[in-house]
Amino acid sequence: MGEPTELQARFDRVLAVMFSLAQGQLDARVELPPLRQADPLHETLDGICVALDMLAEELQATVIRKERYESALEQLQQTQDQLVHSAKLAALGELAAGVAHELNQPLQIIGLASEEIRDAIEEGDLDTAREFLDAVEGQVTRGAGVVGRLLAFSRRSEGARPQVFEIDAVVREVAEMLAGQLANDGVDLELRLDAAARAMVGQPDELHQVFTNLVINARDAVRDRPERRIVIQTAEDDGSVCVEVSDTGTGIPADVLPRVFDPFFTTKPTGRGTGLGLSVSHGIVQRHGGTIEAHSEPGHGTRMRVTLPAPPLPESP
Amino acid sequence: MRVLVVDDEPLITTMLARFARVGGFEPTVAHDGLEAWRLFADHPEGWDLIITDIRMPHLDGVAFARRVRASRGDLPVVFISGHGDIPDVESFSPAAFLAKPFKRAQLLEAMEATSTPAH
Repeated sequence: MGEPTELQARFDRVLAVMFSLAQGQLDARVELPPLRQADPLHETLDGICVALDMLAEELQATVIRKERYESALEQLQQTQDQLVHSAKLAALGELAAGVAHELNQPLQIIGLASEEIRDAIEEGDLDTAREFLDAVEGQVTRGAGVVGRLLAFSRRSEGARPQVFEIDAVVREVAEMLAGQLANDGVDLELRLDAAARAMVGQPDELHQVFTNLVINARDAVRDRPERRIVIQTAEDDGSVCVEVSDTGTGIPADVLPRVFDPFFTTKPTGRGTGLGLSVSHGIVQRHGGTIEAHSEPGHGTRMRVTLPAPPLPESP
Repeated sequence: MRVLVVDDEPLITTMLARFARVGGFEPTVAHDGLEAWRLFADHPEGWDLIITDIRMPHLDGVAFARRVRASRGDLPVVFISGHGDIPDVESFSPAAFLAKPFKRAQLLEAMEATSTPAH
């Protein structure tokens, strides 16, 4: 009578498959032909074998799906990082002309001052020479500041640890970086900063990029207008801070408004805009758990509103 | 020779004016296009040369020069700029363009070239 042994072998097989599955060997299956006996015990055992194989099948499929999702997610993250960086480089290109001017001004002063210093030394007028040397030193510091801000802007922040920062400080840096260019274009920039007390957690470099982008867009919108004015306003309430960039520009037509955050959508002339700025800004704000909205009325300017979560800090004693 | 020196950077106007004075010119400085236009419009015939930056607040150098041209077609203009934006110098003749940073000798050359009638 081989029946108990056959039954035993079947139980052993079920057990072995369960162990294999538990150890991660997901292609393990019972895969034995049904027993011929028609008693409930055998039927149940057959059922267990079939059910176990089905579960193993499902488990394997789920794991494969999960791995595919993870690799797709990773790829998406990489693409997103690349996109953020290319948009940053594009914005950098737009900044380049202004930066050339910001660097050429101090270089011009240094150059002329050097000629003056040479003359003064030859005439033995050391006081005048010292005076111009002070000017040279001041302009070197000024040039280094321009380069430093540019480097801070081009820095990649992917994978960087979240930092604690103040939104007002980020806005102030953006304003400082763009002040020279805006003045040159005859654009008034007004800051109404009212969120200084609120500490935030996130990537200040990325938000720097967002606000730079919003101000550059605003500048392009007001450039040919009689009134050229940009206001950056920050405010805080219970759980969030809000940064609003408003301009006195041409405004965005109602049919264009829903598309401004679409990748590669641009109304700027060829070669001026990539159409990535707002779409990447949208991504950055979203990753910070916030929202970005465009409000505009043609002829009355545009208001871009970024809202970021910022839970209130516990009150200090 | 009366020269109007226009740049929004006071250190630059100071040094250019100083250089012009040493070269025997009589410089007056302005720090944006509008201020320059007011100075010019007070005595349109009182100037022999204009040296002007291009990108400036209120009224840029090219727009300022265009206004000047409307009343003084013969007045030499030397544009100076740190931007890549080179104005159409031909249409402003007599005019010259100098990219910043330039040396005093280059400026002097441009001043002389524009002030001396061609041929």
